Amino acid sequence: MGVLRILGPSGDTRVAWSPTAPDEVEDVRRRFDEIIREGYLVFELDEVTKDGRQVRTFDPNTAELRAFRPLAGG
Amino acid sequence: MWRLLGSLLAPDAAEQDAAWRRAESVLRDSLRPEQYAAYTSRGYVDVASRKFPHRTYRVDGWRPVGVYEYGQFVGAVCIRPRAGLPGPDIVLARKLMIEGAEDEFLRAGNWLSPAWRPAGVTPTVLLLVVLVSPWLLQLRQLGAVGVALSAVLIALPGVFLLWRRQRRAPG
Repeated sequence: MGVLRILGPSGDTRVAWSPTAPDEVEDVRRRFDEIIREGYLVFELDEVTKDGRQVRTFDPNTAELRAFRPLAGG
Repeated sequence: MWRLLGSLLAPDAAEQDAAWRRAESVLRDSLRPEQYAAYTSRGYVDVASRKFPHRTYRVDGWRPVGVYEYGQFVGAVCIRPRAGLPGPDIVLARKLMIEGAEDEFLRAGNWLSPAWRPAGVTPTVLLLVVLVSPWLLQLRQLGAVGVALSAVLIALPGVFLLWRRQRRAPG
């Protein structure tokens, strides 16, 4: 089971999928591509260390993804 | 009545509280247990640089990101979300950018020189010492005991600051 959590001002939006369900995978792939086009940064979390790695393409076998709009100089 | 008053004074407070709780939950799920424990006890997470050995970023949700090399503060990076995010989400976003897109993190953020320091207790403690030192010096009129007592009281803030610095040193 994979989960994509998109951070936002009113809390995150949670999108989950099963890698063995082609319809779910396609839905999430479309959503993933959409937010990438909108400029979101997406990171995969290492399951053990929880370190982040930036990803630009969707892999349905990923367990944990986090997405947010790019940060800017304050 | 209190609920009505609260809703009039801060109509979005309940939504903001809910968003904050969700963000805390995402952050807890995205950190190792010891990282989350550090966040809840100290309010920040230390993130090691992947590009610069001996560099650590101190990340919280409200101040610029502190940059430490060999344990010494060398500057800060001011970087924020364009749209408002709850504090825990800001912590997570900054941490992930440092780990996975450090070049972009440094390019997008504004570098603050070492003259900028995170707000801390040191200036306050030193000011207190200056303000109370005349009174402490008057203790010498009590003789040797008074001199010893004033020396101890003057030294206490310094000992506190040293202890605090050791406790907070990253890595």
